[in-house]
Amino acid sequence: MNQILFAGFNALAFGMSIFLVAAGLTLIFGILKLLNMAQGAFFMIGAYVAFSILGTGSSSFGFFLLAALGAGLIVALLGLITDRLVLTRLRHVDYHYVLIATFALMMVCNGLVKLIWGVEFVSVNPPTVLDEPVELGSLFVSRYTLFIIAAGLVVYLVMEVALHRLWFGKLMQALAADSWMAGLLGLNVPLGLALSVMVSFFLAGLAGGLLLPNQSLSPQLGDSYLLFAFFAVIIGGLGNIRGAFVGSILLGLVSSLNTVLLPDMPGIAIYVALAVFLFVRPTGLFPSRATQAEPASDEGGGSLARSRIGRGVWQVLGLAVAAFAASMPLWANEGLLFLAGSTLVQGLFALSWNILFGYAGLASFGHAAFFALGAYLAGAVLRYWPAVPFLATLLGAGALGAAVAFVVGALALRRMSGIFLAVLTVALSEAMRVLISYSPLLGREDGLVNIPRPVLHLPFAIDLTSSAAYFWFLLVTTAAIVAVLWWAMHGRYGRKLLSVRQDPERAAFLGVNVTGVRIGAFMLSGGVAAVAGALYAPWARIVTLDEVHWLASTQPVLNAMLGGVNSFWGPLLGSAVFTVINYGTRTLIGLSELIVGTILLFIVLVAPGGIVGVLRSAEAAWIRRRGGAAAPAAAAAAPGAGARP
Amino acid sequence: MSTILMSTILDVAAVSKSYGPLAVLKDVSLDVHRGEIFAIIGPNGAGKTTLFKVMTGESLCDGGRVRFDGADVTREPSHRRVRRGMGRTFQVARVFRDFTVRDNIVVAIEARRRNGGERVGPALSMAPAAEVVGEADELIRDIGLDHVRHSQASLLSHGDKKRLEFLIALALRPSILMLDEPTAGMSPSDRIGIAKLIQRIRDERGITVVMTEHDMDIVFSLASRIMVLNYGEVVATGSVADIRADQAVREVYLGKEMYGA
Ligand SMILES: Nc1ncnc2c1ncn2[C@@H]1O[C@H](COP(=O)(O)OP(=O)(O)OP(=O)(O)O)[C@@H](O)[C@H]1O
Ligand SMILES: [Mg+2]
Repeated sequence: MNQILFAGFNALAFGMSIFLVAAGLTLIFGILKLLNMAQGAFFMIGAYVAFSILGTGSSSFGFFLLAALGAGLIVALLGLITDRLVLTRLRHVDYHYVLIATFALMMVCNGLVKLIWGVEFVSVNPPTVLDEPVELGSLFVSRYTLFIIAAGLVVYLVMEVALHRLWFGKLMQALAADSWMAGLLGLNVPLGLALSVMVSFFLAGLAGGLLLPNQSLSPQLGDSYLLFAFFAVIIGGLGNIRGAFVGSILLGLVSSLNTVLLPDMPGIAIYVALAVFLFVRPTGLFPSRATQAEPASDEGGGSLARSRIGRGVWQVLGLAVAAFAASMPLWANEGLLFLAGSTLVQGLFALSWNILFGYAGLASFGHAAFFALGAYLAGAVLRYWPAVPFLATLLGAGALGAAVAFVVGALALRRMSGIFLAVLTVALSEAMRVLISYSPLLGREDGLVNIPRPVLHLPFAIDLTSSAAYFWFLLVTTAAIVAVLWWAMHGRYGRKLLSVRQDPERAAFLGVNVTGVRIGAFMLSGGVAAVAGALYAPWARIVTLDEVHWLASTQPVLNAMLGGVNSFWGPLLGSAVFTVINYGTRTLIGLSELIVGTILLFIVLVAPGGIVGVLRSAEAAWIRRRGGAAAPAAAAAAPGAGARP
Repeated sequence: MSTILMSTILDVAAVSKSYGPLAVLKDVSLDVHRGEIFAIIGPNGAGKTTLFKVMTGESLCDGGRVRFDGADVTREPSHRRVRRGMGRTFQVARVFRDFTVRDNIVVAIEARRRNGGERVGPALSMAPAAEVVGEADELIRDIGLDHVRHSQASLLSHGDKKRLEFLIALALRPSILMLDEPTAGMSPSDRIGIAKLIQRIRDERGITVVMTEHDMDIVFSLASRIMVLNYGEVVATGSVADIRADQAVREVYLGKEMYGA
């Protein structure tokens, strides 16, 4: 009995911690229809700020509260800056770009935190008053636990009252319902939006301050909380405070049951619960209108727009690049060759991401899960079952990737909105990381090392053990896959995908099964990503948990965005350019997140069409200046041009 | 009117739909006969678009039943209804903005062939099949969009966009065409053009038309039967003459131009 009560208290406390983070997340979603991927990072900044104010020693209760408030205010200020610099510029852009921008922001924040506070774990004691247990009947509960439960309740009640009773809340509600209408009614919309952003960020910072004690504070802190907060708002119904509250408590209960019933696998039940819940009740407990449909994308797709430069020029250029790459094993050193091979794999990986984004209009933020799936599969097969033909392993990886994508897609894509897919893919990579870290076969935290390179047994044997041989194999396989994808994306399958991307509802009225097409595209994308991973394992000869980290998931996003998502070749170009950038800044170890995040943010804000987009615009301008008659069409085809207000 | 065969193609029975506390459709029933032009009229916010959504599957109704072409489609998603022969246009024209006019039609024809289990084109070719392009160009010529065949759809004029949307729907060879305010926001001359077009596709292709429309001249000249909707309730259904004479309708439309007509 006591044990159950105790578990109940812990469940409630954990649920309230989740709610403290989820509160800001759901508020900003309700009003700006913005899923802030960086909420967890700002929560973490709040914790670090409070830590800087408090120090590691014990403090008085009042000072602790003050520090938490201070953290809230400072993060609110950061929120204002973020709003001015980033969010206001993205108000009328396809929501995927906003997701990517906040994703980039998360990386920038993580990089900054590491730079300022270092990567060591620190721990902070609760204030002295809260540090001792209280006796409730025969039960000992820490006061801090009770405090967190109380804090969660207070925040919830204050938000309910403020949103439904106060002037400020009513303004926010009006904005949430229809900001255009609110403007007509004479409400100050920009002020209201800025205020909502600040309140949401304040909540993140406050949560960081309040939850600081009893945690080991490290730059990973934001990740786990963010994910649980996402789950809570999805279960509750996006944008609904009450939903987030109930959802958080449910998650607390599930996780507590997990520790009681499955103590060997902490953290698994939450993923299962989320999957089951999404399957049974995809709209959440308190569905809001915001997620039921969304306006057709604003962004120019333009993938079909043909360049004006003759096809012959590109063919010659492509052959030259291929010949250059093929010659590399003959003159390049090991290091350079390794970089080139990895670029090929990353290029294929980025291309797989962009099939989903550029062609089907859906974003995955956990694409590393598919890559890792393939990499671990190939690594394990090569190590433990060397008799299996390598080409069969590659095919198996593709099939496995597609199968997992099918399950995730079937759960996430039943609604029109792609937001669920964004969250569920993050969840997938996190769940995979947890699972792999439990698996002795897959090397747990250490990964699979010393992966042997294969020998192909065609009618004649081809030994791929040398770097040169495997590099050529990589080149040929990648080229073959790219060629098939190029053919598919430029034929009727590509046309069908693009029509769904431009206007899913219109496409449905062509008799196209939009959900089916999207799941199919996700399977193709996941399958290709897994093949890329399978190709990578014997190349790097080591596969570790880093492959599943969300940082690995940003790589294809960044590469595709850098090169240009509205062009088939953009992701490959972006991967090559990024390799060069990375190589040039390799001495700045530790700054990589900051650099990558900043570049990504910069692209989204300034040149959402990437390098190809910039080139196309330049080309169009050049033609216009020369008085070309066809100029208007070319200008409009410049991707991203339509998105800038 | 007596020439119309009285078989029902679309049958809506006691449909209701609410958005939260707001009951937008209350027990709405109607039946559309094969080959007729059926108009739904009513003031702004009467629930016409919502009724369209329920009939086409864009949203599902809370109560009631929708039968199309002999099958109960009440819970069927849109793409299934489309495959049964239902075409539609939107109140605000929706076309594939990044495609050229021709590609807009091409994807529609390819979708139709795919849905019908026909061969879409040669297995390995990337460009659309010659028959598909031929059919698209014929449609484009027929509706008078030849001059913009290779323009990007987002650059079209409002009227041309509406016409293109019409073409997309026609390319699917529907048995029924649902038109939500086909002339909204058009110039008077464009309106007449569209009205003629609607009449023509009904006469030439035998396509049944269900439309909503605010322009009473167009409604009275095209429709074989009219249903009047107000606050989500059916006020009256009948022939043009019936509706003009109906007292309840007069009250709904008090002061509207229909009396001048
Ligand atoms: N998604 C929605 N959520 C809430 N209310 C809605 C929604 N869609 C429509 N409504 C409301 O339902 C009512 C009927 O709207 P509907 O668009 O069907 O009217 P309509 O007859 O098509 O009007 P109009 O002539 O202006 O096109 C209106 O009061 C509208 O505000
Ligand atoms: Mg309407």
